[in-house]
Amino acid sequence: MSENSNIQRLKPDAWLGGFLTVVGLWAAREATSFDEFSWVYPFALSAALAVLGAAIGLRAFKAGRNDKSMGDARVFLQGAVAMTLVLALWVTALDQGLGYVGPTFVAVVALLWITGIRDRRRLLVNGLGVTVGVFVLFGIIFATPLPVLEPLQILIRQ
Amino acid sequence: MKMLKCVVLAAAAAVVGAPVHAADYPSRNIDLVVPFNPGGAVDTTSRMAAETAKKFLNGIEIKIINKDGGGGVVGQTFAARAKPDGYTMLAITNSAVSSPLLKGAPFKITDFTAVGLYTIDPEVIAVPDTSPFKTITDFMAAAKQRKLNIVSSGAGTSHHMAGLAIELGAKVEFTYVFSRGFGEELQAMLGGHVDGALWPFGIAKQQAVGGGTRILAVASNESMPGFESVPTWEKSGLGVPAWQTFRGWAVPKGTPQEVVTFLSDLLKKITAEPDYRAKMDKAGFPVVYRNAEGFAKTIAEEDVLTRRIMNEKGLTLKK
Amino acid sequence: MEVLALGLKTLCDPLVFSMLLLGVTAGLVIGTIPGLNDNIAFAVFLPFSFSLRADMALALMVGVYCSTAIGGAIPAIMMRVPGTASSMLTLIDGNAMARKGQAGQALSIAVTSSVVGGIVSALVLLFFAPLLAKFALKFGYVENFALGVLGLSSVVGLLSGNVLKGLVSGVLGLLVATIGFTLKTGQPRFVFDNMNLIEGVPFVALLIGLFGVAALFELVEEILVGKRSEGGHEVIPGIGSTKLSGRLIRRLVPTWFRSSFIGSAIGIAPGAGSLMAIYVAYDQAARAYLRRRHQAPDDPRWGEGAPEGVAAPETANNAVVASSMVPLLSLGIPGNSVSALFIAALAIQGMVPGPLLFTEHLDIAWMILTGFLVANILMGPLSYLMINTMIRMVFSLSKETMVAAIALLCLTGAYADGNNVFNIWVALMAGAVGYGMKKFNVPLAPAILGIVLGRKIEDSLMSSLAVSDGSWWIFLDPKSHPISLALLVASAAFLVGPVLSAWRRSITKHAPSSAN
Repeated sequence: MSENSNIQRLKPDAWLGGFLTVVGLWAAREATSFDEFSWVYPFALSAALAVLGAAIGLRAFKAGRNDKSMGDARVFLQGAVAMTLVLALWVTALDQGLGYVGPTFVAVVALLWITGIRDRRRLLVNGLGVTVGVFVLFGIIFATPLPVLEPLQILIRQ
Repeated sequence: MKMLKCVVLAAAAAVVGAPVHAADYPSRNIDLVVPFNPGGAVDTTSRMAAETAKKFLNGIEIKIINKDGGGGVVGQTFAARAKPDGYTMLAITNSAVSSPLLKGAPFKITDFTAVGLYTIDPEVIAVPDTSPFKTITDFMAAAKQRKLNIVSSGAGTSHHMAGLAIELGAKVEFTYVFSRGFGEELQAMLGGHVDGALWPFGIAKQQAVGGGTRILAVASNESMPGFESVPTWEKSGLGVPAWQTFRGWAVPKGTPQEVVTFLSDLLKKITAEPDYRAKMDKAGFPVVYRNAEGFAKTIAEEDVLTRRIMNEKGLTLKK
Repeated sequence: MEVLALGLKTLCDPLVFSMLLLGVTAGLVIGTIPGLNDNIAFAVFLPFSFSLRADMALALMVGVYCSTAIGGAIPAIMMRVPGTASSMLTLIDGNAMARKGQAGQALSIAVTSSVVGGIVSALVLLFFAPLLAKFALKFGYVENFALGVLGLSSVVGLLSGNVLKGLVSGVLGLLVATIGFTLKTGQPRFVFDNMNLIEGVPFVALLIGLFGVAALFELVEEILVGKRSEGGHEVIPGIGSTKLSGRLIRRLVPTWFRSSFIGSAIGIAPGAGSLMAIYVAYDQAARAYLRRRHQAPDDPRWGEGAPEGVAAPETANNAVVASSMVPLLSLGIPGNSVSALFIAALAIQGMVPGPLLFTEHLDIAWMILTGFLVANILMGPLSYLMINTMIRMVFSLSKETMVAAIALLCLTGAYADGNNVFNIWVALMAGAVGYGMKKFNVPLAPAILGIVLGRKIEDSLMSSLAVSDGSWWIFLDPKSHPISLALLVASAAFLVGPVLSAWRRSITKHAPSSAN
């Protein structure tokens, strides 16, 4: 029995339980460094989390059958993980001062691509539509000080 | 990424043109950073000032930019690191002094140049209307017997510091009940769930006129108009001369002197405007103007005072 | 009665009335768009209120405040993406109904329930405000703690299925709520030297992430799975009739009554917040539904398309609105962030909420009071008009475009609350975590309840103990804190009740059918 097959047979709940236990223990350890009025409550919660996590893990371990409730892992990882990455890059671009409109357009096109649109004209038209729509709604109608580039900033704030 | 940034910045610079000269200041709208979400005292007073400023700026406006987070620290840091060209101002209050000392904010109070101040709100001791304490003497006599419960906004704020100053000055001790918003404090006072509150005069005045609370003593040099019978802290023997919340404008260090003077004069004109004074008065904020120099002194004094109390009370930056 | 007429007269000024109408319409639109909420809308509106007359500005705000919650139910039911935080429980049964081809029914229930809740609450505000304000003052630190515990006990209604995982979710929420400086000593907890976390995880961004972005990821999954299987089948078969049968209306009356009461009562307590009201109403409806289903086993299970599951939260979220103005208007105590913005709008006009408003600006005060009633009445027909337009708009866009648009709306909306890029990170991470939780069958609702209540419970506990010099008996003191005692007893009953009845059933009924 190789280690690989062992992992494959482990149920998602066993992983979840293990993860929660680790998080709970870590948070409990952190909590002990807080002052006398501030540590008890988070410590108790962390400990409860660790115990509940362990219980979930153990129960999953004991249950014989495989849990299929997760569905096809590849499909949704392709969607959610790719989307998170695209959006994370988008926020990084905003943080780096690359403006709002440009990165947003790129991100929207990437999101459309992820959801399965391949037609170039649709990517372009819908991408522009969403970008302009969101920008007009927040940047102009709602006058949000978006991190837009300076030339545009001067234009819309006057 | 870096290259792209350079290209974009170069393009931006090309459009904007040469750097702004102090001589033609202001040539575009000025951002006033309010380091809180809309709705609070700093936000409201800033908006009133910005509205009045329209009269003096020939089409140029002061735009309120709310940058919330970290109890003001996020917006204050943003303003401290902004380009010192006079187009970014900070709506500054006492917390800009205490945050670097008590919360570990990543800026120093010296990163700002004071522009001017538009309200000074003296601190008061207020009690619920139902309270047995009729005068400050009753209150302090009780404080010597037992620890009174005092509601004030969070640990390390200037209101908490005011309480600590009284503890040092009058040799008493209080139990502080902190709040995360003014609503909680008012609820506790009107419902009589605490013995008293440390509040700025403006807020306390509204509540006293409305009839839910009573002001016992005010931390100003002389008594306040409309409340002539309320003694000052000094006269009441609290051992604390004056204590106030200030609100004003500041710009990042390095802003040209002419720009600071321009903004300082602008604030002077705003605070002299009768309409502005009327609205501020109605909302409870006593209008006082101090120019750049005067305000810088106020801030420096606050800094010294805060450090002294931290020292004597053993308060430190928590890690 | 004279003052009532004065209020109505002020409201009947054509300019004021059209502002109210505009407000209701704008609120519906704003609520429908994920990432936008009444808070952001008011913040934007503040600078304009300088140039408006006081009565006009306030009428507009009243309109917006009333109707955003209804707007939020539309995307919740149609797409499982709530437009506002207040519809995040509505989506469970609402979307399940839509998938059975009963979208029209679900939307109609949402609208009628909101109108009922809104009107009840407006009447409460109109006739009992001074009386209730006095009662609201009885809520000190001790009572607030007990109220928080009662709110937490409503987690029971959310624990259908895996109890362990529901508890994990709740504990996680409470733990997230401890992030930031403690109230008592200013001790930073789990902030990792990040100044953005000093005051806790930015709340609006966190909620947008957990209910908006996470729902979005699910939508993407559905699109991808659909494309793989048979190439795009429509999940929502059709809208169906929007006409509610008399039988259904009669059936919903008890839910409306109960949820209106819960919403109005919780709305009056300053600082309890609308989310808590929604949770408590949902929990109570779930309990009633389970009892009822014993007699009607053919009805859908709770959470799989029960009309009460739409009616309860939608009634409660509108019942909170007007009643939350009780402490604000009568006492000047802002109960939530929206009422803080009302104070700002009044201050800009040179007015002060509280007793002074009723002596100095009687017309404005009563215009606001009657405005809530009228806005809620207008809301019904306007929502029906709106729903049709909205649905046509939603269906004219492709699903793929909707996904991209909602993603950008949610994240930009998170930014707009405080104009801080860090908020976008929070929303994105919360979305990923929320989606992960759903993948592991950990329910999200208890976590949100924990996040909403955790801070309040710990703060009020610490403050109570400070006031009582460390004595825990203060919570059970029948003489000085009878409300606290009553609330805690009720919470205990809510927690123990289901356990007892499950135990009783397991004794009396040995049928094998209990195995499912």
